[in-house]
Amino acid sequence: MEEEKKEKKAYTNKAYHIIVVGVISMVFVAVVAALLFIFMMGDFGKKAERDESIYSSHYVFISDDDDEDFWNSVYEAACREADAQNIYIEKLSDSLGVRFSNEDIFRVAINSSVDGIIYGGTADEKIATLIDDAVNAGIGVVVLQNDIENSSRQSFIGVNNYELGQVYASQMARFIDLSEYNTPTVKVFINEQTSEGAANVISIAIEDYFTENYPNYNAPEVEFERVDSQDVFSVEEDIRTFFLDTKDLPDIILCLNSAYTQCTYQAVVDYNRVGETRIIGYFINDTILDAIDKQIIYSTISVDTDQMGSSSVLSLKEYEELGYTSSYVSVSTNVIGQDEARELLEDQDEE
Amino acid sequence: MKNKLNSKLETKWNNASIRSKLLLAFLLPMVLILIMNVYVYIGVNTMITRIDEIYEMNVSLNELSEELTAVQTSMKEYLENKSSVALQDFYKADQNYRNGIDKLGRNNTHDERYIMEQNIISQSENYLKMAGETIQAKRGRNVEKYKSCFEESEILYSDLQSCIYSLNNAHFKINTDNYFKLLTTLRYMEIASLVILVFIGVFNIVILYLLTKSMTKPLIELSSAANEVATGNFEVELEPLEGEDEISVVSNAFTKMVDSIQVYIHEIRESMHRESELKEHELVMESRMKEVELRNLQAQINPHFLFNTLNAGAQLAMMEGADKTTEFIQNMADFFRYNIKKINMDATVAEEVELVDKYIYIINVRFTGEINYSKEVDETVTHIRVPSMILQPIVENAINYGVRNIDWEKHIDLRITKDEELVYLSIKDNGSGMSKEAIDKVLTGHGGEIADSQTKDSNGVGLANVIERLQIFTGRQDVMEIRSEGEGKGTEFIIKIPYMEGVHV
Repeated sequence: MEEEKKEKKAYTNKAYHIIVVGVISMVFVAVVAALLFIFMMGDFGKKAERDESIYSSHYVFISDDDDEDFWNSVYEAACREADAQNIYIEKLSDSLGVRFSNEDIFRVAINSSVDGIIYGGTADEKIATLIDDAVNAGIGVVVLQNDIENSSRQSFIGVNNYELGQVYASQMARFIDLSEYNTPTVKVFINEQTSEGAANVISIAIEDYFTENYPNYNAPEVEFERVDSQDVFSVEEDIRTFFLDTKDLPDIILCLNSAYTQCTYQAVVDYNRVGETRIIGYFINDTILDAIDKQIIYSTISVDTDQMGSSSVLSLKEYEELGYTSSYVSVSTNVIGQDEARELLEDQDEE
Repeated sequence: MKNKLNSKLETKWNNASIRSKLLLAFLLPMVLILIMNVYVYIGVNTMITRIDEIYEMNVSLNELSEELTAVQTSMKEYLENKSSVALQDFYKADQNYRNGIDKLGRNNTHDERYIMEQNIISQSENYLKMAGETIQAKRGRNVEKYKSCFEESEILYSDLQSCIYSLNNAHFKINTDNYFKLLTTLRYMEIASLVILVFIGVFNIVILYLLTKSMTKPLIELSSAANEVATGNFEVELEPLEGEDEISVVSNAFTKMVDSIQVYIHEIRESMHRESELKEHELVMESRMKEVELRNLQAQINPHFLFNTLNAGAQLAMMEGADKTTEFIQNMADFFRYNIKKINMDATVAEEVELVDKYIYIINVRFTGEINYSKEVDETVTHIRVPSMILQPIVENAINYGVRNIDWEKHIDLRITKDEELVYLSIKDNGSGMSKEAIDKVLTGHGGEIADSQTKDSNGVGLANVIERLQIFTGRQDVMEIRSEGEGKGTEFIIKIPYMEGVHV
């Protein structure tokens, strides 16, 4: 009886319960919809957040774009050091939407009244003048890899060409049996813009090394092949042309940057001339290590890009703070042969 | 607390009028759809505002670029024609450009775009300085200087435009990413809104359907119940509805009405039943009377002839001086007249007693005064009306089956008494008595000879007839009691008639 009564009551209140359930459901749907909307709107469309942390100095990094891997590596190292020093390093070539030459970028940097300029590129007169302008405007300039001696730059950071020539010579001596050769031929791929003097320093360094260490043999005959280094494509084109035009390849090819190294390696493989010449490269990356492992590239000279990047920032900072800095900071070099390359590759695999 | 509120709302809902319920049923979905629309509207509006904000910086950078161009153009114009208007334009443009530059961020932060803004600010200062120098040189007619300054400012102008363009590009690149994200969001929102709208739509339809169903269901049940009642079936059961809305009121009133009609019908049926029962009683009574009358007719072919004859006999006896004969014949005539006259009517107790007196007289003439008759009558009940011919047949029975064949002195006593409820008419003999079985047979109407009226010396009215008429007359079953202590110990017949002061059956 009581159950029946309850049933009846339930029936009579059905409409009320429908309304209650309906309202609760709708409120639920509305809340879910609103939350969904807020969630969806979340980050979308908001003004992009900016890194608001304050820097103490603003440096500009200018480099040639023919050897991206190497300079990127240096730039990253410089950025790491700059972060630690609360300095901002701007790579103007990246932030400018239009293609500017190094001189243009240099000019923009000077007009932007930056605190310092790190320059890694070809040394020529115009740049030397711009360096002077910058220094006159109170902007410190450090030069990487290729020194611009006829400018008022604050510091040069890198390996000097003589030292580099000696390292290359030592590598050559490792795999050339001088007794087999009357006079080994060496071809050095060098930037079109590199001064004659700089090239000579390398040549002399090689000669000196052999004279000193192997006085009973003829020193190798060093020739320079100037490569158009405006961009990677022109480098590749020049090196390929060399291989097509040269029937008898030199005994040894020295590559003075990573772009030359990679293009030479690629050309040797593509034109099936592996074994006809021996390549000594510059810089390390996966491709170069792989090539060393296969002994298509005999060895490579690795400049410590971390040290280079970090030193460039520290030198500029020192100049800013004290008004002077060391005019030459040497960067250590490593030679990577087949064993070292394998080890590095294994380490990478493990990672 | 929650339950209290819930039950309070529930009661409020139950008591709400149909109009309010319907209004709520239609308003609720409408409000929900409205809310949904507002939600979509706000969403779209927010999106549009966001898009505006995204491209705000691009717009201001474009303006900055235009202002820069205005500076350069006005400077060039002044250099060409040295007009004061051009100079004015230059200063105006210079001021506008400076204002535009002021809007750029001057923070030394790590953000690429802030850095670019910083670069633009510094370059702009150099440019404006150079432009100012150019104008001054022109005004001072220093041709060489203004030429070199103009060349310098041309380079700065071009660099500045490139930088503004680059910054604009950087913003645009980020904004484009944002714009695509926004577009995706919009698409998601469109789908979500559609899904929610469809969901709410379907839900609204379901709610409306259920609500209207729950509201119309009692109405439908009421109408079908009304139809049932219209076809004459009052056995309809409607579920009682709680609440005080119109449907509940009508439904509950209808239920009450049907219940009342059922009660009336039942009462009418009962009264009809009682009436027919009464009629049936009357008919039975009448048939019994007819039966008595028939017996009389069978026994006395022509009572009038018999009375006349007896009267003639009485007169003859009177003339002859035979008083006893006269009295006898007179009593006889009275006895039969009573029989004929009262057969269809009721009589008073006194009349019945008188008839017994006359009968005993006649019988005593026949039995030569063997029967000793005594009577004791409560005079307060002599006026009570009883069916006629009820005492005489019992007395006759007492004589025929009680005392006729006994060797000892024959006594018949008539006693009429009463208590608070009943009047007792008792006829007691000291005759041969009755067994219990015989008593039961008489009382149940299977009395054989005793109960049967068909005896030779009977005046025609049997005990069964007497009992039946008494039962019909009083409406009671217990109208007669027969007491006998056994063989030879006599029998007492007691008639019980309800007695009520002022009201007599």
